[in-house]
Amino acid sequence: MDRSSEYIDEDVIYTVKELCTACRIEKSYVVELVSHGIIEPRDDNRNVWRFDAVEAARTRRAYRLHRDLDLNLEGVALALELMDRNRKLNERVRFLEQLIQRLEQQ
Amino acid sequence: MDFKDYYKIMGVEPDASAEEIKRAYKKLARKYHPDVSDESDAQNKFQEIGEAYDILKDPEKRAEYDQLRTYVNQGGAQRRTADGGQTFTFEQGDFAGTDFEDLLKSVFGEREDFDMGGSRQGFGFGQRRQRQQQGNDIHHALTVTMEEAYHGGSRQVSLAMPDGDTRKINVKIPKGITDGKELRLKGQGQPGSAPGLEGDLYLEIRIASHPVFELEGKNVTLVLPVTPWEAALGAEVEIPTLGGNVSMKIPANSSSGNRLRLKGRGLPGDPPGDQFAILSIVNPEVESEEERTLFEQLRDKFQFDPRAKLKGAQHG
Repeated sequence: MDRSSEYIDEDVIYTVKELCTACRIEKSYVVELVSHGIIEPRDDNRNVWRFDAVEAARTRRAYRLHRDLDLNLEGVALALELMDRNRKLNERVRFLEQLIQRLEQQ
Repeated sequence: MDFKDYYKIMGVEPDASAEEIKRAYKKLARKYHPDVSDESDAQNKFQEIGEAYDILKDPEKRAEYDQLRTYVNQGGAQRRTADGGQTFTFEQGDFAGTDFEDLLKSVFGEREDFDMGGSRQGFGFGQRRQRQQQGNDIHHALTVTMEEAYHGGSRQVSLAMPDGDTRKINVKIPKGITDGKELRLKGQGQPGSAPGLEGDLYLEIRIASHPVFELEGKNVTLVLPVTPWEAALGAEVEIPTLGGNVSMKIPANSSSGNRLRLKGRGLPGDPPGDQFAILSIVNPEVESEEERTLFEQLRDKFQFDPRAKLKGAQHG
């Protein structure tokens, strides 16, 4: 069996249908996620929704949180936003700590 | 798989109320949800908690599990199946060798799926009904070097699969990938009940720390050591970037902590990241008499007080 990689990189754009297949969700769920501001369609075409890979990853994460933790979509939206902020802060702290260490070693 | 004490997993007493169990589950589920938790084995913990809760939340299943548990704790005893079927015995030693999961399936699984009785251990079960079932997705972390993130590339990775196998997969790493991004390898997850129903494999990218560079998003930072005279007089120095060495101008009258920017020299993308160099003035060790004299001359010639701003900061 061919194990060579077929990966979805950042340039891949999903239609609503493709997003549903990739994330195993219904179309109505995509509509709900968009209306809660959890995911955002690209703004290059207002008539047809298209999503990039970052939004697809976010869709899956939202769905998992919703399903596993019994959250409503307001809760999912808030959790994702706080998780994003937390991730950025962690990244920043790690970066600054490393930088201080390097400066101390000079 | 060994016998699991679901009460221990949930952190509750064996006589905990349904409400207490529910509370414990909700708390643990939030803590160990793989999307939320930083712990490396969050996925397994979360699954274990889910499994425990599945059994303990259902009074019937819980009663059966309690029986099983008592009897494992007693080190083997006689037991009657809940269906009122045959009585059977086995020792603890036998039990440890049994697949606990199979045992659970036989006790708690959908009854019509199993043929109770008849096997060596009295737990035998028949064929499961065939269902159209999509294979599960598999999630893994993949650590790449900063150079790989910069240049892109492909490499073979060995991944431990849930079934215990190790699988080798060729993965293309896209140029400019950043920490936390996910790669999706379609159809490389767990097999489904039929071809075409395989799950997907997701690789979450982690970028390894680098001996020289620090990364934040697409921006690369380098601490650049300079001599006191390079900082004072300005200089042109060679500095490393992920794309190779480049020449950079240090302006005259620079200080430690000054940050210089090389636009577009960070990780590629649209727009690409920048590279920053933070200056760090390093003093040479004074060894000879001549060197000492030079520094003494500096001291005598300069009217310079780097601590001027600190004056008056002391109170009381």
